[in-house]
Amino acid sequence: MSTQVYQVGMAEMKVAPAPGRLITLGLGSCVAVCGYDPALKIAGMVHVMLPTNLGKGDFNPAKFGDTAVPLLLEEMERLGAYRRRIWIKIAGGARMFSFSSNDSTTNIGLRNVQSIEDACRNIGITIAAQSVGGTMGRSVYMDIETGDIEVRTINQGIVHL
Amino acid sequence: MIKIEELNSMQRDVLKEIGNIGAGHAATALAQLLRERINMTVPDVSIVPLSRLHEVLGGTEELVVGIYMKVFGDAPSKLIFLFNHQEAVMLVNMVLGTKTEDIATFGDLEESVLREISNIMTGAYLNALAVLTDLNLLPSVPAYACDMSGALLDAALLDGGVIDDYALLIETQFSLTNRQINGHFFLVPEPGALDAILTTLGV
Repeated sequence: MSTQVYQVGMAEMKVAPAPGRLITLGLGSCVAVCGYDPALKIAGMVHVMLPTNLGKGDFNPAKFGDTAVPLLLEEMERLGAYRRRIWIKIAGGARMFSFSSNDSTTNIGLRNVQSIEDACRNIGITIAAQSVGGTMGRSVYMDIETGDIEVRTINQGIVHL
Repeated sequence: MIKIEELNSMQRDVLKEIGNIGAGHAATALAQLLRERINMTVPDVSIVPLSRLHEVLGGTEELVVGIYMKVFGDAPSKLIFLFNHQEAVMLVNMVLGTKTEDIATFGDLEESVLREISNIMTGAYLNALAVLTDLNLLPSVPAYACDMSGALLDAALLDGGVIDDYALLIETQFSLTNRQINGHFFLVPEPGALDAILTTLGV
């Protein structure tokens, strides 16, 4: 039997019960936020692109760190997950290109990670593990059966979160 | 302000023609630099929802060299070159007369060659565009990275911190007639830039 694979594109969110895998490929400054309820084996992943929504009327909440985290929890709860059991792990937020002038205000990857940390703190969830920053692209593979998250890079090998 | 997803076919044709003229000059510059014949495709103007952006590249985990430049002035935009890693090595070998085999051994000199190739092509591209539109366009210095194609494209598109739900990509592919070297070249106008370009051309 082939496993169900849910590919999460930019500014998308997917939630699913086991069995299956959630994947997102080639993250640069984007961040994958992964949520998991280990008792019910319900997982969710959001592909965050930017830190905060700068106030356009209609927008996609999965695109921004500050709105993606609450959205992820709500959607997981809709599938039956229990909020107090859910852990969150994140990967991505690299800085792929740097010009000679090092201006931290233009480091979108870092700001994405900070906005997600703030959103988690507001909700009262600590980030259980992370692989963020640096200058390398990442691909994220999450096994919904076990909650294992594999983060692959080209030059820095594989880490499990 | 013009919305990307609402461009009509006439406006798309104009953008395609702009890409064609700019890329034509860039290809000529590359041909002179390498003393080789260069082919280029008719530009593809694609308006892609963000969630499907990875499909534009074919694969998002392929190891590529990316050179990224910002364009300042009347029509702020981004320019992105992507070369497959083996083809980047061949390009460097052609210019330097070396026999490097693996991109992992690239040092400052090799990176600089690719930056400079991109710089020369960008200069030709923007100059053609500036003459055509009478807009003032100034490129930044080129930034270099070698990693997954998807990661490089997303980082370049998001640099600056704003993006619509759709990305407008004007893509041209170059190839050397006698060798297996292909480059992808993306011009990505920022939201306001589209108005400037289209207004000055009267569409």
